[in-house]
Amino acid sequence: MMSLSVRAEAGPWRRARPLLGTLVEITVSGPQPAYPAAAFEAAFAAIARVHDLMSWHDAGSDVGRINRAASGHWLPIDAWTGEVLRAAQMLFARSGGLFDVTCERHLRRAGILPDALHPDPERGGGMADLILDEGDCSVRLDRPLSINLDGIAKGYAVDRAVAVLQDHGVAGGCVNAGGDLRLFGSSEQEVGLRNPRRPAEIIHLGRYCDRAVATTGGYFLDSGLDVASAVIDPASGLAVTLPGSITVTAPCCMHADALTKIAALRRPDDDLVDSLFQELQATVHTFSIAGAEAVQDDGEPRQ
Amino acid sequence: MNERSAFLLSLTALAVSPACYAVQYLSVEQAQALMFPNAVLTPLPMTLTAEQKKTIEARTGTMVRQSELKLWRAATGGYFLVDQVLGKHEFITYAVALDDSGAVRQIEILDYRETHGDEVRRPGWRSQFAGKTSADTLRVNKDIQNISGATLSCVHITDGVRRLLATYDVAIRPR
Repeated sequence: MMSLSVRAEAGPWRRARPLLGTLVEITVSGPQPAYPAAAFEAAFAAIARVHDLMSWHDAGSDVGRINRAASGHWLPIDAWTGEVLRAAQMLFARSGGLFDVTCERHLRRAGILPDALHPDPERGGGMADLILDEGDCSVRLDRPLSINLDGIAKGYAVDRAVAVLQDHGVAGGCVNAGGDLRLFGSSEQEVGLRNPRRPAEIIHLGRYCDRAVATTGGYFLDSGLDVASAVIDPASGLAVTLPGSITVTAPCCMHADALTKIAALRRPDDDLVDSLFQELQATVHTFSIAGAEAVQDDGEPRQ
Repeated sequence: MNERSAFLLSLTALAVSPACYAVQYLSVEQAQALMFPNAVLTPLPMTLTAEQKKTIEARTGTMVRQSELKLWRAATGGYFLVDQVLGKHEFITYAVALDDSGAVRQIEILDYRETHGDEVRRPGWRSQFAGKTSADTLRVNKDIQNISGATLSCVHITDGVRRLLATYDVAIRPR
């Protein structure tokens, strides 16, 4: 086994790698009988696997193959991709279409994704054209379409990494994929939020235990593009202007991740969306910008 | 429970923590032990010539800030490199393990710090962290370890790794 100049019983230990187009940070709370090298390795491998399966940029990924597939044929996909697509279908139906992974053409039009990388910019099929078999292991397109799972796969990767860490006997810690994170274990942990106005400033969000926290906002995209956010309104095909940032907490990070997009697009008193948030045990924090201060509110205009 | 019970309604003045956030994940020695277990690593001091820097910059479209390479050769084969990249708000030190063919085997972030304003771009601010292995000096914000927020791109690290691969090709690869 490898020897590290850290005491075996100590902790927490933290590691970070560039994955999923961001920095993925894994924290293992001590005590452990030895430095948890194998747990870290396996958790990062699970995240890399999600990356490889669901990368939009890679033509050989499941997403890349779906986006190039002809209609009418069953295309085998990995069970993990199937699980994410099944969740995406549920979220599409239960949000009245606000969460739509076939919005990829809009992301390209808005300049968030490069148009040139895609062979056919007009694969106009929608969620209704995406058919999953019962075992979630193959997919059929009733019309050509293209998908982008960036709004949900990061959260799913976090959930997979947490499951791997728990399988390795890790009792508690945190997996944070560039700001979408999940805490696990019996101890409460403090979670901070980047100030929507000053990304390097940290706001105290709260203390949580066994909870996922995901945030969406226009800053830190660092793409060199002047876009309002990476959230696209399926109705208009335009990027929405966020008042600051929107944070969702939920038991599972895949849901928290996807629900930030729904929270950004929801209209007041949308009963369908309210019941979805209640069923998934999710809460929303909206941070709007008043002067230089970030203000937490419920997203309603203030008098 | 009313229908909006899932939404937090509090309007709160929020406590804001000090402006600098920093984490040390691994020291250079710890990264070496993890990336090259049980291997003896020998420092391989190397300074890029002006011509080599120009070639690397032209090939990768990135700027070579440091002529001195932090490079080690592993007795079991492969190389270990430590490098730094600078973003708009963040300053990241990372290590790369290359195999004998010059392919990336592993990347580990060693430390990460961010701040607002231009502080991060001042050499004085950056040098206070350079080569530090003691975690104490880096625990700027002990209270909040888990930060949510919109995704920080890793494009600078990706660019940095491309620069190191070109550096390998131009200067390190045995001829």
